[in-house]
Amino acid sequence: MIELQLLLGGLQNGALYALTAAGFALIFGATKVFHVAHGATFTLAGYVFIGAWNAGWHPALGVLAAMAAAVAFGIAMERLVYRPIGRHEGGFFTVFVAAFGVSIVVQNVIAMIAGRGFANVDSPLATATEVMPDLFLAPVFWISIVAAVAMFLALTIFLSRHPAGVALRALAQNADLLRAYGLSSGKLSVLAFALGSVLAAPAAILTAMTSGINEAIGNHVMLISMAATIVGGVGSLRGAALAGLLLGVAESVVLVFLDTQWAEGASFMVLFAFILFRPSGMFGAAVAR
Amino acid sequence: MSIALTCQGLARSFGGVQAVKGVSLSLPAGQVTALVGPNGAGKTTVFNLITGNLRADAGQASLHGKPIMGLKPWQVARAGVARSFQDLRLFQHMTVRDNVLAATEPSGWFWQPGGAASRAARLARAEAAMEAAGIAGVADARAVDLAYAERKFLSMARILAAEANVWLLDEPASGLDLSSRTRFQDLLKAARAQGVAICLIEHNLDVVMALADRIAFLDRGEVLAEGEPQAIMRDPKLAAIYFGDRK
Repeated sequence: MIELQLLLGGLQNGALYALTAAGFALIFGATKVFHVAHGATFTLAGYVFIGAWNAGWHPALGVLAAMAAAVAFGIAMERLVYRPIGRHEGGFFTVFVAAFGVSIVVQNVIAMIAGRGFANVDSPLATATEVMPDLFLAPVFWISIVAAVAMFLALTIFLSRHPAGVALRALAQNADLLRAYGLSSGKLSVLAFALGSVLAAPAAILTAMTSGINEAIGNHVMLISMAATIVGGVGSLRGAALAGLLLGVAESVVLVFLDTQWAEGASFMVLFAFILFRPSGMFGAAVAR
Repeated sequence: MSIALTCQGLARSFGGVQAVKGVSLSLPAGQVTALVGPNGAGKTTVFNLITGNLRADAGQASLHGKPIMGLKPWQVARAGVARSFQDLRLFQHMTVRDNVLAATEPSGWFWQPGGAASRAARLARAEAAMEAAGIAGVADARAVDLAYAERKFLSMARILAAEANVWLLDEPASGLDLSSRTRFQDLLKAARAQGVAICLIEHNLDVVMALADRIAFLDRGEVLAEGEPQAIMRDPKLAAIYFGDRK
């Protein structure tokens, strides 16, 4: 039964990774910005929710505040960091260093305000009950799965049906052409950052309700998001989401065979396996077309 | 005959090379103006200057009397100037329908005035454009899977759907067989009849002679001659330049 317990735990983690990775993949796919500060979005949203919870706000307000913080941070990064760098034709490395720097600042500011170490919210939704002999599940498990599926479906419908979604997919493929047809790639980039960032908020909130978060959790989240984007296939949202799920399950299931310190290593074993045997990822186009 | 788009004294240099030297053009509504000249004459650069893809060193351009010089490409497009590209840029991994739909929503944003009715109208516009361009049968295919001629007509369908009143077409008929070329010419004639001002860069002189109301002959960044197609094409000096027999 321990295997099933670990598998379900992995699914819960994986659902949250899937959301975060889909957000990163959406931003990267549409804008080609390697948004290393996506992990900081996650951290910020989590701490805003914890702050709202501790201040006695209604949980729904806390969720809204966390989502608003995530969106505001994502948009601020696009407008104040990436766009000026793009205007001066800064390359990948400039973007990477700038975003990494902002992540470190966010990490330290959070540590200064909230203190270092793990923080969480003590919610009854995270209290596990025995649903079968030796199998414990908390309501937050179902919330994670439903939240991930619902948000991913909403995103998919938006991208396939809404004109702004169609335009975002077009931006991902040819920004010059998009401009020739009267769409502002700048406004669409803001939309991509807003949507991609908001996906990190529920994942951060649910993580704060279960395992808890610390000021450096963004680094782990960022590594997982990058790994999921590569494993899923660069440019594929469903690939990133499925890969996030796979990595979450891998991190958990590996504990059947190995010690807990190997959990994160499992994600990277999956990543290396894909790089070696299927570098285009699950749904990515072959590099040489 | 109203003038839809005018440009005056357009100039642009790249390093020491002056690619466009004081080009002035007028595009009347309901007429096809062909921009003709040898390779490297500056024809595409003129398009890039008008559409804001390149910044002009000097010169002005206006659309229905309103200045457009200095606007960003998407602002020029939104003002009513649609263009096609020589290298057939398409959203390769999107369906034909989505490629066309992308052109119907220049203000695509969260809030859609008109809601479902507006969406239905945009879809109808896209369907009509695909029908007119003869690609309605492949609406669900990805652009990357289309045959070359179909891609050309997809490019035209997107221009049709944009409902712009000035079209700048960069070698739109190159590589088309005779029957496709005829379809293409019919498409342009219909747009001209509806009052669209069309500027055409085209190396196929049969297409130029079949469509153009006026020709502007460019060489080394300058307009050498402008006028009736027959008169321009009969000029032996221009013919020598065009066919590379310059003395």
